[in-house]
Amino acid sequence: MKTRRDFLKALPLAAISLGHPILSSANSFSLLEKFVVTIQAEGGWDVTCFCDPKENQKGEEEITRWSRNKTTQQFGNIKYAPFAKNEHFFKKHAEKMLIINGVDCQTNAHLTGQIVSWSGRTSGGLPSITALNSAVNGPGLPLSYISFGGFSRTERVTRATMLSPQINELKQLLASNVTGQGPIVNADIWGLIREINISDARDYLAQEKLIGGNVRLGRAYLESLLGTDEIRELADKLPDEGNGGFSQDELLKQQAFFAVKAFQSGLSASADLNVMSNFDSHDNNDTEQADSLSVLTEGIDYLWDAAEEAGIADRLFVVVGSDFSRTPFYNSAEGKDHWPYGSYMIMEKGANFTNRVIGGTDERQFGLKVDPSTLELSNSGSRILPSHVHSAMRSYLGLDSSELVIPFALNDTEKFNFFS
Amino acid sequence: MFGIRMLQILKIATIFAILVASLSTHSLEIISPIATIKSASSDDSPSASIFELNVQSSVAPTGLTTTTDFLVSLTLRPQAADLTKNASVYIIIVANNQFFKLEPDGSYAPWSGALETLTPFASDQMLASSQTLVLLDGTMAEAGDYLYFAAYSVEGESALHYTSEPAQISVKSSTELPNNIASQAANTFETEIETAVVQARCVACHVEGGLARNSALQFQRTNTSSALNNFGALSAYVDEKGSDLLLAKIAGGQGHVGGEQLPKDSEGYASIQKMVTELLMTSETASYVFSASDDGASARQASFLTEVILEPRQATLRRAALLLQGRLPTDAETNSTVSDETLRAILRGLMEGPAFSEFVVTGVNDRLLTEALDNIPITTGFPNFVKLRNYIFDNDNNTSIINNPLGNPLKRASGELVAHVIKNDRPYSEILTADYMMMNPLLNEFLEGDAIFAEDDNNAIFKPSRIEGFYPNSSTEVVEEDPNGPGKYRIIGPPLDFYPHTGLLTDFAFLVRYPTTATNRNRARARWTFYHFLGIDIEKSSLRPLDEASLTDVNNPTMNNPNCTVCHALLDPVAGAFQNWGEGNFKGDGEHDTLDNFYKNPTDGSQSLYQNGDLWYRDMRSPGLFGTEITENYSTLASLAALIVKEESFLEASAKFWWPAIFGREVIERPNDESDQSYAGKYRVYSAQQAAIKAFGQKLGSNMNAKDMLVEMIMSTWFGASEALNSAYSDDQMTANLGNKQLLTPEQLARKTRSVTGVAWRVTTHPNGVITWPHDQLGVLLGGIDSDAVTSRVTELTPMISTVLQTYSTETACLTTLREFSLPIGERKLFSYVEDSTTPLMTKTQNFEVESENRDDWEVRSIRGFAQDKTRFSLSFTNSYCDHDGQKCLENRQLFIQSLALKTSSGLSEKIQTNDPRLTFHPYNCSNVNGRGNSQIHFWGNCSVILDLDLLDDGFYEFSAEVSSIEAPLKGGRVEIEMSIEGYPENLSSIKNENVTLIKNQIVELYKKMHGRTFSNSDTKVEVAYNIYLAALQSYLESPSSNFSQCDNWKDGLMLSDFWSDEELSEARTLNEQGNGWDINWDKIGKFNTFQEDQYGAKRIWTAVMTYMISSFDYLHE
Repeated sequence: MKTRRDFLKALPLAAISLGHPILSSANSFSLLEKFVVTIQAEGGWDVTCFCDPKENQKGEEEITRWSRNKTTQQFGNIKYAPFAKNEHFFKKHAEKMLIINGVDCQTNAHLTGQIVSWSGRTSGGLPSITALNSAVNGPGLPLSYISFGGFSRTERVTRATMLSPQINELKQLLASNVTGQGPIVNADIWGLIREINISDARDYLAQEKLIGGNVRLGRAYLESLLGTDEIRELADKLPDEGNGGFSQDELLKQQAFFAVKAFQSGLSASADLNVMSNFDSHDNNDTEQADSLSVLTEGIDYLWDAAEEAGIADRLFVVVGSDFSRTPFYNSAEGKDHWPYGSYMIMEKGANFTNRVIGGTDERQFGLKVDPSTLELSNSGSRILPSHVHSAMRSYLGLDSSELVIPFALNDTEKFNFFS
Repeated sequence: MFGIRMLQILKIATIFAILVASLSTHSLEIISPIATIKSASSDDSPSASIFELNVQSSVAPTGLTTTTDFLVSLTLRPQAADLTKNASVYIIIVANNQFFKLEPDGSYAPWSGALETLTPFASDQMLASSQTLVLLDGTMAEAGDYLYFAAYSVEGESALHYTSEPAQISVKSSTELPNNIASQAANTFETEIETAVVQARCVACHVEGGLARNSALQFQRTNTSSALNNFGALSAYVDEKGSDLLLAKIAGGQGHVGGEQLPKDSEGYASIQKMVTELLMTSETASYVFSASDDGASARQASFLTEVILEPRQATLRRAALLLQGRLPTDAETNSTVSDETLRAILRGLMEGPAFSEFVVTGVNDRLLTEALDNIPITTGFPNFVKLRNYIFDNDNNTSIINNPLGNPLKRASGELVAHVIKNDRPYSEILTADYMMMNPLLNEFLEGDAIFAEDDNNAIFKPSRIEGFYPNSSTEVVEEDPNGPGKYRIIGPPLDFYPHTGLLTDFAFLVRYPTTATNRNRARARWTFYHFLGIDIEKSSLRPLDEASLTDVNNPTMNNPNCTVCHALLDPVAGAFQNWGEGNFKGDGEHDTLDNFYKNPTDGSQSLYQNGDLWYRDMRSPGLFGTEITENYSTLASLAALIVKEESFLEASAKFWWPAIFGREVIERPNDESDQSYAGKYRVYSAQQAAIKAFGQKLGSNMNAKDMLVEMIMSTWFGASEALNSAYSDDQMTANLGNKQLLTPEQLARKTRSVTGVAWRVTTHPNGVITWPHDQLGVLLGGIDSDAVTSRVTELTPMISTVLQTYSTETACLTTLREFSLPIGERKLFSYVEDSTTPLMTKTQNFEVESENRDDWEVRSIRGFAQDKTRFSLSFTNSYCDHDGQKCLENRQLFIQSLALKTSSGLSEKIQTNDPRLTFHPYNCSNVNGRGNSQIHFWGNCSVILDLDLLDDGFYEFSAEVSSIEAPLKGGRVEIEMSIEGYPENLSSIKNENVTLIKNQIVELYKKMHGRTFSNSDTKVEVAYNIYLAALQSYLESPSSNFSQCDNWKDGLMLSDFWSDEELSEARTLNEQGNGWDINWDKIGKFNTFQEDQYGAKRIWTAVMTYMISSFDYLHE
């Protein structure tokens, strides 16, 4: 009598092969030098309460309430505002920080701000820095680029895996064909079905007259199938039930948890984390910013702790930013409105460019010019633009010479080597 | 105006006519044939005409440049049969990926590609043996390839004789300096005006979506051809309106809304003067510009759209039915789809009912994102809705009891309004102008709506309703203070006479989703009003040079600083139209203004601009739209809505609004940076999409019926292009994501699966009747949105989605088989060819009634079937009965078997005695074989006698039995038996019997219903699925089980309610004490497990096949 394996062999499958050219599977892990994370403080953060502290000046409109009775603080070379939970955060992480202040986001519109902050250009059409990193440094990884929302445009250089921060149920959802009573479909046959799906997809894509949009879908179907086994392995590392000990509103921490697990498993190269808090403080600026900045700093802190625990902290490259910043004065509702001069906080452990502040704003929060060659403030220098920061990041991450990246030129006339 | 934008250098109509062999003006030049093409006929009849295309020029056809003056002519030599007949001649040119047809006056107009709209260039032409016609005389302003097609038709005949291949002219960019005055004007424009004037100033407003978008002068932002096109636009304006008007306006005269842009002593003004002078001196040479973005474009112009094959109509019907109704088309719908017109009619029929409402509600939320709100989008802390306030008070200020019941319908109300408008063929403009909102019974109760609901109307039903229970503050007073809340109120005055409902603009959830603040002042609402309903993205409508001077400008920059007014001049009047809507209710309290208190009473001691009675800020522009002020103070939004819906851009915005819902992908954004490598391709696709959007908008505008527009969208190439005719346009098709497949959204997948299989995967039901679908919570994981952080749908699969979908497909597959094989075959959705006993092993099975009247009344029953190798012959008693009194059966049915027999088709036979040792019984020892003289088998319970043989010969066998019975007269009914021949051949795949055919036919049916594909039952695809079936069968044979316990039936949240009566359900689960969950009766629910019974392994086996079906590309994409 034939066994079921005989039937598997007998199937008219044209090109079933376990080895496939599209995905290189988790082997890319060993090649990845850095995992890139953006932490997007959507809405426009108030950097005068954070990494570009501003104190009130006599005769000028009040710029910060906190400076009525406090002064700017400093750990290492990093100055910060004694506001919300900053002290703990800066004390613990100042050594890892490169602060770039006075970045001219060139806009005061939210969507444009998100575009320019995370792609480097206001006019759109460029992928996020994280998408580029995944495309170049993590091609084929099943979760090469994960995003929890915010700006995550790929311009088709890679595919973004969109995720929801609540990770409960995820483990069980990803455990396909598993029940308390055993597999629903015999494991061999279940594997066979996947192979047939793959074979079908290849046949589909081999059609001569297949039209563009259908080609895209077919490729995505095929490539996604090839990555499912690794994702199930990742699921084993997720908490069994609940949110893994997180409280319901610790959304940023849950995102960080998942990202670290994905990095550790060799499945991801980049992640966009979304603070999911209200930074757009047109009303009650200080209250809103204190809440949101606390969420942000606790989330970043957790990310580093989790990365340490996972043994990948020295490979993490974290970019924290926002749409832009907020006006250097309070409006009638105790709020602050949109202001184009903002900041980036870039973090890496053990790097030679950290514990440093580049650029700045004057006492009225206008961007100061910087000499591109010395990175010192200079009246004859230039204002730092997001494109400058992105150019430098592309170079530092080894992206700029990639054929995938070249079409998305930033066309800077000046280069700032922030990572020297 | 014609689609071709001729440089208005001379009146072209006078130079072109049909010139018959009159080419003397170019007599010194070279006449070169570029193509000689034998005709084809549109009705496939023989056609022997010759079309010869020639270029006449001073240079060879390969050397044409944008400065070469040349002439294109057609020499037509008709077939002999057509000589002397009257004919019409048609000429088509493909330029910039668009079709243009040659008009009788020599100009070119855009052509849609539809034959019925093709008009002749020359009519009533008596055909001679040869005639030459001039098609073009002048220069081509743009470099590129131009394809000519020609055709003629004879009067009275339907056939069109045409060139099956195009003739191609290639024009290169000229490297020569401008050598005529027209070129001088162009040069002046490019070097002195395009960047310094047009891009720096004019384009801020005179651009698609800009403040001056209704002006006759429209420019393009910088792109590869913007200089050329903008020159053309300016030239055309001068030609039409005169240079004096142009010069006056740029200097701020003639009521130029933008004021003075170029003082008369400025360099820019001088440059324009110079260019105008050069234009007026131009020589009489025609220069042709075939603009890709001109008026009159339609959905099918771009060649990357035309070089495709559309899917069959039935395929479009299927996809549309799933999209709009979440179900497969009915047979009647399918059979009626015989032409485009019948399909259109059927598509309209799909736009009705609750299922269509779901489609619309999802589509509207995808745009407006009102589902993102965490809380109830209505203020419960104020007494304006007295009934609501007091209900909260009476429930200990526990707002949670009302948040979801009231919040959810409020979040849906916007979608329900649009659905109501579309379904009822109301003018689509009503989505903005409706003087009502949509309420379900609960909303109607608390807002005191005027809708009338029937008693049994549930909260899923929405009706148009007007708020009649909104009380201004002065009409209420506190009757009971509450330290924990606002207290309880009573009514002391009348409610508002007229609550100013204004469609989506006053939708509660919309207003809360885009809140106003003291400094925002309704600008977010205005921004999204422009975006959704006028198609204008304010944020992208102008560059935003935020220099220090602008940022420090304290002289009310939004009113005065040009860097700010660019947007605010457009935005702020619309924000002002929202003046009566603050953060909370209408006018805040129903009777005052919503102005910020700090504006009215500055704390810094400065003088307020506020004056008593003001409703809007005096340091902002007055309410209005595009320069039309709104003077009405109460229903300002109604005035705004009335202005919006009159705008042509409202129509285009509406088409754009529905584009993602219909086509499953976003509209491509306009590329902005021409240095991007992919700019040209993106721009082509963008232009084609914009043309399509315009055409769909025009369809809507014809009678404001949205169904017309949606039907045309579904009928278009954007929905139905299934194959590329060639690879010439594959890049553009890729950029456009053109294709007839869409990844199903989580909502669509759930609807399809529910409709096709019945399964409601991981659905939960709440005692209050609310059904929660997995996409409500897991939507992002499956590619959907949460309307908050994730607002764009994933349109291509990722490994994460695929992994979740593998769980989905396996669980759904097993649940499907549980459902299907628990139903009679006639009631099933999918498995209409096979019973659970239909396996390849069961070559034959048949049921009989035993008709004997007593034990000695023997009768023979037999069946015949194909058998080979190991074969099981069995006879089963299937309806035993015993009326047991506790000690014995008062009456019972009994079956007796006297003998069995086998007979081959060649006539060999063997009688098998009842004591034959090869016989076995199932269940074990269930029979009595000690009957009379050990010669009879006696069954009193359901029992089978089995004969397993290893047959030497394949072939048909007759299996017979001598049987008799004793009936149970009081119970009634005859004794029933089942006889079967069941093969266990060495090689399962070698089995060929009628069951195999049935199984393969079943697989064909599965492909048809689940994938929309039709195969013969011998197709390779069917063989693939059948082999999965056999592998699963083999697996079952290796470890048989009569229970499919691995399939968790509770993962189908509606299985119980679908199969059980309300009475049974109420026994199985009762409301818990808190009223928020179920108490389960496990004894009763245990019967639910009968769904898992799997006597023949059919459920388990077919689950494997179904897993394949559901995880396939064709199931997940429609």
